Amino acid sequence: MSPEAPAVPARGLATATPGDVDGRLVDGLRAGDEAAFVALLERYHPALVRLAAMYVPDRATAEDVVQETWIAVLKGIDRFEGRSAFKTWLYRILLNQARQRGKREARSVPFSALVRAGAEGDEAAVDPDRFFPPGHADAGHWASPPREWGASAEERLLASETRDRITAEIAALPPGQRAVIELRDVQGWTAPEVCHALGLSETNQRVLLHRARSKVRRALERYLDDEGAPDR
Amino acid sequence: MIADELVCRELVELASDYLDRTLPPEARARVDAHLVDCPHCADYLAQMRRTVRLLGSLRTDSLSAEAKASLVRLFQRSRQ
Ligand SMILES: [Zn+2]
Repeated sequence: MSPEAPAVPARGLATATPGDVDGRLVDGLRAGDEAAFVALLERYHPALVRLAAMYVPDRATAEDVVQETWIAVLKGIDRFEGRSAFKTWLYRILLNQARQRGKREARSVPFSALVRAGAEGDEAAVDPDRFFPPGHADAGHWASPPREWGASAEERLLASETRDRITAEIAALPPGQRAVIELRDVQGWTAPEVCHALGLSETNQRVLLHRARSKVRRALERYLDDEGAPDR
Repeated sequence: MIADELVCRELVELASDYLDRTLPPEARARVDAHLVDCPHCADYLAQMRRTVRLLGSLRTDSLSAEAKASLVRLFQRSRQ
């Protein structure tokens, strides 16, 4: 048995045909193939840790939860019938483990909060002050339009400091928005996958994603305008 | 103002669905019509698109050697 993982792409899980790859790896795992297990780790472990971190107080606990998840996978793989996708099954185990642990650690994300998208989503995507007020000849149109992010902005957007800003902005989002933007835009899941894993309606998922993206855009705009604009 | 003419403040609320192509065709057509005359909203959408792309680039975590080693040990124990 080779200790090296087979060449399985770790990215683009939602777009390619993950079923086929996962199916082969699951068969391998059942047959006791260590390389298949390592390939599954490489495909899913980092994303599982990021997801678990939303439910528990610190990174170490998140790693713990994911370890418990893999133990459950190893125990249960022979009973996994393949009626749902492996990925769905895996994330369901993780979410159960994370919620249990979150409760124990008294930092359970109230899961009802995920579903109450309306309560989280009542804010405007853009500060209303940036549009002409009702009664104005141009009511509802930009009074303070966004500046084009040109070539000079591009350099800053690619800097690691910008990535840190985005990460901090995501961390500050309400739990439902955070979970959805993390899964959709960072991890590249499809909308149906996210709805399924988090128990959200399609509409709620879209609202949460919209709010979250709008806030991250706003944070980037503020960041670029504050320090970067050469022509002000 | 024409009844179904979008204003910028409404368009920004449709931006995410527009980019994901999940708007109903009629709403999508209204956005497209607005964009013909509004460079500001085009800039806004470009910023949103850029934001989503940046978010996708955050996914660089990889499996640490340490985590891998301890999980492989678990695996080996589970086979015994
Ligand atoms: Zn406009």
